[in-house]
Amino acid sequence: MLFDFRKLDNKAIEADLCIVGAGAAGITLARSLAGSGVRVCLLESGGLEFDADIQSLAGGSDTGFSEGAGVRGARLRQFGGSTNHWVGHCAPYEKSDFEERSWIPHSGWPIRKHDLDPYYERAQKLLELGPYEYDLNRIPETKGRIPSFDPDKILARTWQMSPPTRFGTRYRDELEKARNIAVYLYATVTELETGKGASRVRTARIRTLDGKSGIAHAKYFVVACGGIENARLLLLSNRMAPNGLGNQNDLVGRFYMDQLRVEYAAIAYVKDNQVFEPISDEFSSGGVRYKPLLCPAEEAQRRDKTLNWCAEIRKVPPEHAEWRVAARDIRDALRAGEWPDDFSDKAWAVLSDLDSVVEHFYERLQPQPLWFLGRCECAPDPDSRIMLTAERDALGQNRIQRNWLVTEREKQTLRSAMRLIGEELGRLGLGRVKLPDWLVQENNEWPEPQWGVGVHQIGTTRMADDPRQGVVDRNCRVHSTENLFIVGSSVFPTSGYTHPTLTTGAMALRLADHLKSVFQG
Amino acid sequence: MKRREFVFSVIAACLSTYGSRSGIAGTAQSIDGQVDNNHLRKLLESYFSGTENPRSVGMDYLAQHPEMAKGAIERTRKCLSPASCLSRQQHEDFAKGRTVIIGGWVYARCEADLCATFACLVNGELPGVV
Repeated sequence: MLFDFRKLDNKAIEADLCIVGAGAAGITLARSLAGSGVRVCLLESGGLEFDADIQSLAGGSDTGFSEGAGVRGARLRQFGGSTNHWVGHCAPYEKSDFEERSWIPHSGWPIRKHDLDPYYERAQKLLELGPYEYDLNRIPETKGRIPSFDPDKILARTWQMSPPTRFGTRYRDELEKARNIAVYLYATVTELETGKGASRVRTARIRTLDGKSGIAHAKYFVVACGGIENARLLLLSNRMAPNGLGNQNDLVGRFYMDQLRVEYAAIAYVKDNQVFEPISDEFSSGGVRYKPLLCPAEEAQRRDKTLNWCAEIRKVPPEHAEWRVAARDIRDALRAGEWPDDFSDKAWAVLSDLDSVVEHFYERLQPQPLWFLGRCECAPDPDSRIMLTAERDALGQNRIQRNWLVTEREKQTLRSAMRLIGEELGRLGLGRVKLPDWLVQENNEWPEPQWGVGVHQIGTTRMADDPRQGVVDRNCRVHSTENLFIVGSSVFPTSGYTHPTLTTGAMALRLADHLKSVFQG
Repeated sequence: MKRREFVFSVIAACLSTYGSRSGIAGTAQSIDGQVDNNHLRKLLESYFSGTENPRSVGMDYLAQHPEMAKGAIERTRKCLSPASCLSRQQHEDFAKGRTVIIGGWVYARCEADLCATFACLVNGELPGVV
């Protein structure tokens, strides 16, 4: 069933489970409970189509690290949430993403990769992907064709590309037909109301832009509004808990992370472009699109004390103009020289006049160099956070300010990543790698337009077994509030480099199983 | 200290290490020293098609990575005898992560060592080299 909340006469909703937010997480959770007998209400702030007035409720301001779109970027208040405009990259977080890494403070999840594997496998279908396989060496189209990278250094993996699944479109009929699920559009939740002690949520307070209001009563509540709005709603729910719901340890909104993307992290001049095809070119297999990437082995992360990262190889230069400057600088430096008869045996020729060697690669052998796009996890940092400000939205709710902090560690990670790739290409005699000047410099300067972000808001209600370390427990329940759960990337303790949608889906499926067991007593 | 002075102090340190630890060094520093260095310079010149680029790389290496550059000349002599040893050394350096980034390029240490040695010889400011 699907309703426009603005048009309802009775604005008091009764349910067993109230889900706030109909994006990838909320829709997945709701449809997992279809036919279960659990009365589910799914509250969505937006409608079926984009609505600029509703979208404006998500505005905010930025301090610290920021790029073009700022804190407004990517978030959509619309049925289906941000899946209405996502690109479709999918890959599971890696084993190391879940583990505590001694060189990264605040790293480590209370669950492990193997805990999520069964849900990842189910989430593959949810996102209309292929088999749960992300190792390029095990996919028929690329098996046996991957350069022999040292497995303690570099691994060849892949994204799987979702069509991309637009959750609002793809699963609307299913939700409408489910007799135990009621979807309410234009129902903006402005507060979760509790009794004294804030140990239990009683109602979700709902308001509309045309001045109407209502409430949803439920036994259990799940907040699924995305990495920023999840924290915002807890902070706004401060009637009984002055610091905000679940915020007795001042953790809500902290540990904000995104993922960094550097379009031109390195350029490679190679002997034979074809060798790189299995690790650079998109391909289809079984109706699914794959997009290769290179990742560090766990041993390499440990040795170099880096965050997690990946690199994509591109045959076409990045869109922005910076690459042209780099290419021009290289070519300006080119000088006449003899191309050695046998590159590998006369290795010193590389030294003799590298630019000359490059010139011959560039002009005679390989008209196109290869470009490395680097993606990097961001380190969890309690001072990187979102907070409420005095500014109010159209419903009178405090807007948020994002203070995202990025340190030299992220830059060091990308530098080490490209160096590692350079070492492996050099060892294998496949080519040579050059890093851009700004990345070589050991500082925390990130000149635009060299970098971008994944626009994946992560970490503001992080998961931890210890209430002093996290907002939710391993089952995504808010530590301080017995009937309140949170789902989505806000519970991720670390960001990984990977697009979070597959993990969000897996976590929602896991929470659905948990809630089923809760309702079954 | 000016950059140039700094670079040559590193060069002197390289040679000092070389002279104190290597049996060959004694030869280089004595009657045969000048011959050895001249021979080395000719050898390197035959490898390099130009002078300025390897010299520049070598100077940057000495200036930016002085600790890593210590012993560069000794290592260069070893890996040039026989010359085929160089490609093996290059492979080993990459495999073991003994690399250095100069001008953005990822070099094996032996490559940077060669450039540093060449820079020293071309600049003609090595002890025992005219």
